[in-house]
Amino acid sequence: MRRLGIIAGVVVLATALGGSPVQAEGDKSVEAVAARLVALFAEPGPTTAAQLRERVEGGVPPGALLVLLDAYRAAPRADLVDVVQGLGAYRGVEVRARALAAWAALGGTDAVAAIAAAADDGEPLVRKLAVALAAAHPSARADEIVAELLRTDPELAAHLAAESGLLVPEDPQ
Amino acid sequence: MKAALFIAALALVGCGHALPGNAAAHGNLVVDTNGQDPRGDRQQRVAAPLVVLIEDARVRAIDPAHARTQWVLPLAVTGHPVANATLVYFPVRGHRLVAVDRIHGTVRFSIDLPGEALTGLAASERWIAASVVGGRRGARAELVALAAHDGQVRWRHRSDATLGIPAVHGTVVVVPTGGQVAALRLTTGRELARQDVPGGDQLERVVHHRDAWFVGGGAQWVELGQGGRMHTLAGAQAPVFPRVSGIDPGHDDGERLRLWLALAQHAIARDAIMLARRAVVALRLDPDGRPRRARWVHVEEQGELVAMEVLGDRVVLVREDGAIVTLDAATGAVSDRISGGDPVRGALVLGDSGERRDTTPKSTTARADLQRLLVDPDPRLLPAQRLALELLWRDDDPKVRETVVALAEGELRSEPSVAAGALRDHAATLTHAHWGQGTVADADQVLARLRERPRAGRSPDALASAIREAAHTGTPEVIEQLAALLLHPGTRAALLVDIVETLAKLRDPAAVDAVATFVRRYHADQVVAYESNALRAAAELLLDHAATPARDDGGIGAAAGERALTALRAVADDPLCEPVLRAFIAHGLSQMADETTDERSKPERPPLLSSRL
Repeated sequence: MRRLGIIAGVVVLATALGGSPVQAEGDKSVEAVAARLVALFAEPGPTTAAQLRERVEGGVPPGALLVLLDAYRAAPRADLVDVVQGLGAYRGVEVRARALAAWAALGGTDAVAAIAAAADDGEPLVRKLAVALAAAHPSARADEIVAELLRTDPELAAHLAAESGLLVPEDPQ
Repeated sequence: MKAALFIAALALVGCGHALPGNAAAHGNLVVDTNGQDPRGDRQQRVAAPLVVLIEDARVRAIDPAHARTQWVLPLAVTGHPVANATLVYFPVRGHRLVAVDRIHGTVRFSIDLPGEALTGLAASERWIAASVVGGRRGARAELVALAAHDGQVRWRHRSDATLGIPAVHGTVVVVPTGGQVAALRLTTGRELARQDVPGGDQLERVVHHRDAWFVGGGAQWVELGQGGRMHTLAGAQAPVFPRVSGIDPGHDDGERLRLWLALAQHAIARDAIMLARRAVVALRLDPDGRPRRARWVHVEEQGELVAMEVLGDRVVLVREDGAIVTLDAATGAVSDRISGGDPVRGALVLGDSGERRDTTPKSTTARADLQRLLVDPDPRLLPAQRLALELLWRDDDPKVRETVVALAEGELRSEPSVAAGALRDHAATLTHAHWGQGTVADADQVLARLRERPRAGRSPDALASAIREAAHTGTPEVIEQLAALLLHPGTRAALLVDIVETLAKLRDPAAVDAVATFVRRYHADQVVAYESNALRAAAELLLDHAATPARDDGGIGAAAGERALTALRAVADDPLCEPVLRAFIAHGLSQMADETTDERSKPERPPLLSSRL
């Protein structure tokens, strides 16, 4: 229950970071691209995985990427972890944040790696996400990363202290 | 009579002494040898200039000031002559030494040299020192002191090691022996000082220059008494201290490939001049001893050069037909030319080697001259052309360095000759090395700053300056770091523009994949498209690379160009591409297609850099 609550918080945060998806005129639209990506993702297999990779590497509007990343986070696939890892270095903060959250959804060492990447990010809001992800995927290493982050980023530590309600979506009772 | 007795006594004292190849260092070589001969120095300065041409079986002395023959003698010279203010000493056939009056050409004396073969000679106003191979009682080598005015042997020292070419200043001779140099008093033969030379296994000769002593071999040298630091001329295409391997080979083919070095006291030499058959290249060195910048280039249209001497502000060249060409040392401009006649093997150029007054490079055509030198198909110019490539690659201007890239990719000198192949290989090697005028340390510093990734709280200023400096000084790893920064999510938009501009200046095919990834990844992201003009600049760079296959049918550049073209076409075909960017790429591709059609209709396609040279 607690976990679902945190994921919901991450989604709210990521949505709040992003603007509206780019709308395109013509034969293709962001929605059509998003639907194509989700369809490829939903069909396991090396061929569709390769097609999905190729489509993402070819450049996709951020709005479509967000839809794909949401689908990934809901049903993470280890064979496509390289896709979310790559999007974890996207320039747009909203895509990057959601990619890191999707990567962390794999759990285990992937979660630790995603938390470390988020904690090392230059954008304060993505560093803030590291704390949320560490809470969602608890481990000794994740705790160390967060402790180090709060030590080196006093502004974030103060911000989190002031807004602790956002970090604990569930009723503390 | 008294003098004869004194000389005989000295001979008894001196003769029979040994000069060990390796012994404990002692004394202070610089203190014990300096300020020895101010009168001799003055005499040398006022002596009339003379160019002694060494022909096959005779020598001809030319007065360069009046362009007339001073004297001619039938001498079969076998080694390198030396001179003082009054006499010229010629090693001749039969292991003899002939002394000739410098002004009148009269023979003063002719003597048999000790030993079996000459290693090297040195002369001052009162003394001659000769290092020879072999000697009495089976000695491996001997150092011999002779009186300069009559050639009488004053003393001989046996050595169990091969000796190098000595230098004489006043009454002191300094000679390389094994990994050491020894200084001896010429009047007594007594060893004054001895110094170990680090890495001194290749010591060929000692040079005395303005109260400083230098010892070296090949492209390495040490200033004696200054802590023993070995200086090396990196990438030297010719020897500064030619190897004699114990026996003076005389004026052979090696005379035509020499490097003159401005030996400066207490500092690394800064200027050098390379003689390479028909070409002479004057250059400045960096503190690492690497060629840094061309000062001027001189190429003889006909005939090879067999001798070069720098006399103050003049560079005197002697051509194989005996012609004498004098250049201004600062600009390389021809200031005098005396026509030749009979073939010569080498020359001894005598004159005041006084202070060089102005070493500031003044030639404005050096770059163009280097580029012209590169396209000369004469295979004899290969050493000079290799140096020209190094100098062009050290230029701060990426446009100038493009000549080296073009050569490495076969766009220049594509003929199937061995020399052209060697030159192309050298260019390819250089393109993997540090570029620009900065030192290796400067390039390392730029690279270290580029390796820093954007992070919270880190000022982007250092990164911004490093990105701009990379165009001037860097190594191929710079491309890798710039590519990583381009794709790094934390790189500020303004820096993206700087990165793409630097990559455009460097025009390295290795950057194409990263730039293509950047354009493809963000072509449909309006936020990235509008935050700066980096995307458009990146697309422009890809268009530039994509145009490469049109003029280059093979190689790395062509393959990268194909990848650039593929990326651009994919982006232009995507209806979700940011509209302005899409229109720009589509226009560029269309223009490129038109140019390709035009070029194909021409009978012969011009090489990439033909118009720039």
